Amino acid sequence: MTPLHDSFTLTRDIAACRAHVWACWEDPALKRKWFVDNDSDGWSLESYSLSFTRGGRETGVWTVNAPGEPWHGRHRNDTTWLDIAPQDHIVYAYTMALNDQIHSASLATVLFADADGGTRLTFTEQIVLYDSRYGVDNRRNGWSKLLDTLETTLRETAT
Amino acid sequence: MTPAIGHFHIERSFALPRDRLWHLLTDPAMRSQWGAPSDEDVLIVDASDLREGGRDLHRCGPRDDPAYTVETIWFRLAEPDLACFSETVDAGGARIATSLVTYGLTDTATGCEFSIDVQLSSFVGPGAMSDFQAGWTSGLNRLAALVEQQA
Repeated sequence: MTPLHDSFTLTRDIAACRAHVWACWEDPALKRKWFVDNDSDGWSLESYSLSFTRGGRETGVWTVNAPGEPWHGRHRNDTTWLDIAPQDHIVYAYTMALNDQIHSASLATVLFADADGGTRLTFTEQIVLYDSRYGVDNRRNGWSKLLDTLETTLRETAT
Repeated sequence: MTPAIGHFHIERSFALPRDRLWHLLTDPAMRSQWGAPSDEDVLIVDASDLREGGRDLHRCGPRDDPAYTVETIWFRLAEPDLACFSETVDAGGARIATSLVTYGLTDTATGCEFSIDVQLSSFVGPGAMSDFQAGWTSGLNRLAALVEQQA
């Protein structure tokens, strides 16, 4: 088994204040709105919990009904929040598993900065992939879609 | 301070079978013999729970003041092929860095090839990258000496 090490960075300039963007990570209801409640076809949520504190955990379990496809089965996300500096940065580690087999581990660093009256969010993921079926492009695309949903959530919850 | 991000990779060849090197890498008593960041420092393992999801705690630094505290979370343990874990380093109540560390072990004709990848997010500036690399390099030098004793 030769693991693959890789990384990617996504940068978004978001038309919302830093406090609102931060709330999308800190507030359980907002986090759930963009991170959990937008399942693709065939994905269904089994359980989700969030304790957004330094050393706290986030766990999500999804079942994918796609017989014959490599992603068919039970997906589990386990996150540990390693460092939280409000409205400045978040660093966390997480693993992804399919049918109880961990196929990746990641260190994610999320930066929040002011930019043109809004917020520049910079997401960097350093990843170790144990299974060649799961390339870094899949992960990058997945996070790109999640950040799209985060922006939609911000627009829908703007006051 | 905005976290600084980086990655380094180190490889070593050891004249020891993988299963015996695995023991040196993961056993708390063995780690305390080689794992400090310099010859002058010590590493004291305070707690160990070697299983996926388990957490270890250790201190390191000068013998009279091992002020760095390190929490390890074991993410993947595939003995004797691969281990992956995070390390979060604090000192004086401040967070220094977090890293994702991968050990890789492969057979060779004379023993095994060992690789270590450290993916780092530093809270004390980009200089931590060279400090961490120097610390791991120093540790691997002592690991090599330990392997010679064991071989």
